[in-house]
Amino acid sequence: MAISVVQKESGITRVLPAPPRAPAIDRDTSGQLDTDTQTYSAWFWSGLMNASGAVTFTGGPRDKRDGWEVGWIQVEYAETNWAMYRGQHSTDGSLFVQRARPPARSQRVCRDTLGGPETYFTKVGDTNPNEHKNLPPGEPFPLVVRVLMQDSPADWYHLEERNELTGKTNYLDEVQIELKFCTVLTAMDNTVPASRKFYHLAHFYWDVRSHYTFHPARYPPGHDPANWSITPVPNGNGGTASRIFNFAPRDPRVNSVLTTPQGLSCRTVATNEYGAGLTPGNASRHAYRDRNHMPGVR
Amino acid sequence: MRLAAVCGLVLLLSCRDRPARPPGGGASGGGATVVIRNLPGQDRWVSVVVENHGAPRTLSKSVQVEKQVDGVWSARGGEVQVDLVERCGFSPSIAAACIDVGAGAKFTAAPWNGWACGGQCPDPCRMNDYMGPGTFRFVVESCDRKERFEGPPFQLPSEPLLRFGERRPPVAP
Repeated sequence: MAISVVQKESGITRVLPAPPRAPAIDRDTSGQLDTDTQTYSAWFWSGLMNASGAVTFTGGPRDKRDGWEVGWIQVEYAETNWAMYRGQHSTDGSLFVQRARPPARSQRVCRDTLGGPETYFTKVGDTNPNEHKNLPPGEPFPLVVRVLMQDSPADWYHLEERNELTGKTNYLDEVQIELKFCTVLTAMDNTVPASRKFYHLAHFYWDVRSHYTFHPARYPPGHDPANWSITPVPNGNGGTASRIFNFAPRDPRVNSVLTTPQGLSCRTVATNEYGAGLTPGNASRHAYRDRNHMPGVR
Repeated sequence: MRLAAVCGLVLLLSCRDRPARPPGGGASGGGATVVIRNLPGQDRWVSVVVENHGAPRTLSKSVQVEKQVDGVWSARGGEVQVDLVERCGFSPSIAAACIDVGAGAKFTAAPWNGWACGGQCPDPCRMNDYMGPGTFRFVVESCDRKERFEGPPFQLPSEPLLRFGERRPPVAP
């Protein structure tokens, strides 16, 4: 008798979306950031998204358990991520940074892991022992493997950028970030690596959204929160989660990277986005001589 | 014996785990000329401190973060990034794999807040998690990865530590 997954007795039992959080201005106490670079920033940390699931296995007492793993596979399938900067005076210019499209974002969809791009599960081993588990030895069949999942995605923008056309400092004016994920509860049979099998048991979609305007109360505002007026854009902020769907996603965007080889994990894709937006001359960074070049003039 | 059995099992699972040692904070091979210490910082962030009591050394910039699970030290692999950097910068020049630590030199790295992504230096994060609670230690390796210098254990609390830019909500009077 071989070990098998009892699919009708497996699934996701609970999903709690990430609670929204207001952006924070760089704290000024650590002295940890390199002051040679423009590092005073607005931070967009989401709260923790939580999910839990359970997978039921059957098998015989002599079946080989090594190679069976239970965990979560997550795909980021869509992203909105841009910022607008404006100078103090009309001739100071403006900047638009677009991180969510090429060339800043090299690929639309990616598998989201803490490990390298070659890994499947969100976390492995003991990084979070509740999130990824091997089949426990000794426990008699049928047995239930329960796993929890947490994620707290984040991004950040500098409060100031130097406009390469005017040479003047432009200040953060507006940011919109929307990160959209699909998370799948999966059991993997890797007892024979050459014929590795995945059992996608259930999935859900979730997102985090931040959309704020920033306005210096005085110039230069520095990084004192008292010098910044930060206003949420109506209906632009929050965290939501879909209902739970059984089995594998049917969305071809998600399936395209669920278990296939990939060159970059989402973490690296996001780091590259950030770097591109900082680089003068990069096509994701648009500099203008006019403060009011872009719409939404205040 | 029991510890050896546990280690054997874990090694079978292809982890880089090692049995727990008393807090020595030195080289695993004895004759510790490189001593690793912890420096508690603001908001309970923890810095790794390297003291070189011997000849000049070249050390790997990447610091291993290990967690004690059932008496066994378990490596975090590449999932947690802590580096021997005094400050966080954003230029490609910080990408060097190793750093030089002179004879008698003391190096204090930027502190770590227990988060897997962006825990020591700001980073755009998608998958992320707080590593606590638990007992952890920093392990510094020579540049060729042939020697390792284990730091003393430290605790991460249950409640996630503050991240960059975060502040505790004010306590009601």
